[in-house]
Amino acid sequence: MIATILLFSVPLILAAMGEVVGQRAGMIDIGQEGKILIGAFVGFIVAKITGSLIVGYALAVVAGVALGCLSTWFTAKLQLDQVVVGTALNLLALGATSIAFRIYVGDSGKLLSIDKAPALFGLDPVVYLAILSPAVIWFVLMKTSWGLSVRASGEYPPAVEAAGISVIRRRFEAAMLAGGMSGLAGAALSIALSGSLGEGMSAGRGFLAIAVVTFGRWRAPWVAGAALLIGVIDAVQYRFQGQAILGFKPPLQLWQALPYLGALLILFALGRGAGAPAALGRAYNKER
Amino acid sequence: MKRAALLVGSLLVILGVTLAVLGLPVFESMKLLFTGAFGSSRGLDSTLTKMTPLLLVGLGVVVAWRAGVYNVGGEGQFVIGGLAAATVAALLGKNPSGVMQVVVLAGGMLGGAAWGWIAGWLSHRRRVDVVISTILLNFIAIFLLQGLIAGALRDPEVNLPQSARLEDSLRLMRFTRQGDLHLGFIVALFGAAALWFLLNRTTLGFKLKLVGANPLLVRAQRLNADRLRTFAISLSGALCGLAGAVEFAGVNHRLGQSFNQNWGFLAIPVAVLGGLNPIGTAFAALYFAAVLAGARNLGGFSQNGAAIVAIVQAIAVLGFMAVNQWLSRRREAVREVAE
Repeated sequence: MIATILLFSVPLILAAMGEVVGQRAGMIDIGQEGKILIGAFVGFIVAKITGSLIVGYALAVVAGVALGCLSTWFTAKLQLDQVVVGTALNLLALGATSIAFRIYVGDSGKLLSIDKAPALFGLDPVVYLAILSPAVIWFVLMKTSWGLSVRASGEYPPAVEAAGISVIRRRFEAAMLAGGMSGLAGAALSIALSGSLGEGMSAGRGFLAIAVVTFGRWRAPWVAGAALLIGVIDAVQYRFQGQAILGFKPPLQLWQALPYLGALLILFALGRGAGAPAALGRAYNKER
Repeated sequence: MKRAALLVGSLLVILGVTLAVLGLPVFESMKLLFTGAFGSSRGLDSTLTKMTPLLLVGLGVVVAWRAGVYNVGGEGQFVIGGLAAATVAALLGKNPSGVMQVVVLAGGMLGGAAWGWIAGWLSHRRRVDVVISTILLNFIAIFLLQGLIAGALRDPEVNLPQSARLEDSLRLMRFTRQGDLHLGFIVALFGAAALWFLLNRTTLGFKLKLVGANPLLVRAQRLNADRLRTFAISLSGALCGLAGAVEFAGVNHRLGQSFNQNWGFLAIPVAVLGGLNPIGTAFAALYFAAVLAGARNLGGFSQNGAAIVAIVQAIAVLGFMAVNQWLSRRREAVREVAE
């Protein structure tokens, strides 16, 4: 059961860790869903063609970094609205992967599966990466000067400029890190978690990651805890699907909706509260 | 006018490039797309039928975004609208009067409005970001749809999870015997006109736009910004819900697993490219509906109409906004030099 929970949480934790960095730098990234989807496709197809899982993971990360750069170019450099840019990126990913799936799989209906990585102490190696990531992200954000300027870029950008550091540059770097994590999350989803490729397989995990960052109060360890909680709900619902509880058999769809319903209820219970980066969602403009 | 022409031109170029990347012969495919969308009465019928939900949900996006409320929950509100309409229809029993069509559509609007209101309330009372809550509500609505068509609303006579067939008297009138085009198309056009009137000719519309443009000024005028925002997202939900109800009563006549068809997501770029105004949104909806309908002619890619539309939309939105930004910056620079 614990192995299941960990495996279910891996993509969400990785994606949420990326989203923490991005949001701390002042960017709310709706396009994360699309980055995960692209990561899942690139990782899986590359791993399948080259026969090397590591190359698959690596190129998924590269794809995520590239998409992070692209969206920051629009949101930070051109100062376009972050929600619109994110929505556009999601549509691009949805369309591109849907056509790639068609070209790659075609009408053959062949089953796409991949041999998973050999287990390390009973767990897929990528699980350890996910366990390690909150500590690393926490250290980078809270204990390095780079992390300080990233956080300041999301809190009070003029101070960053006054210190002679470019806000736009910090946002680019943060988005590249976030994008890489999303790509990795996607590859973990297709290669480690499901071991297969499906259309639209990100199934809202990128969106859940955004919710998780809010109720983890923008702090890496708390966010990881929140992601784990959603992972627990997801694993539990998977385990209990179709079983009767106290003589009542809840419909399958209620179980499937549980992670999303849970996230919404937790957000309702907590409210937004304090802790949100003050400049979250806003483009930085030097002249203003 | 010049800008509209420029936009139409660039939309065609982007479509051409997308087709080229897919490895299709550009001009031939464009011609096929065009004849597929407008070349026959059947094509035109299909184009206008697909335009209907795109326009209605697009209008919903317009009213919310103009008020500064980033409702990305059109998909969920569309689904709830369809569910509410189907529930009302089921409650009306056998052989209801045709007048009851109004009640079915109103039920859909009410359902969508309620689903939108939840997000508005969460934002107002608990400061939950509308973007996040509407996204989560989308997923919950889709699972609700699948649960209900497999459970309470299920047609016992069919082996698939589907709702019961809509009574003949409750179906929206169709314009031709062969085609799908239905009265809902007129409803959507009317909706565009009504929203234009609301936004441009009424005090309420002015207040809604003010909330989006300058919330501080709204507070200075002692207007309740939270109430205006909640109203905006409820109205937005009502329009998306109406889209779902119209799609159910006009085209499908029953709810199936793929009822939602991503209309809610595809409509966001429609509204953005329509310049967040009702008339522009109508034209943008027509363009993308034509690509959707015409893609039927694209042979190997005939199943990927929605994917092609999504890609063209994404590139168009990013390009359109980037060019706009560049133009306004250049104008500013020119003004500074002049001063």
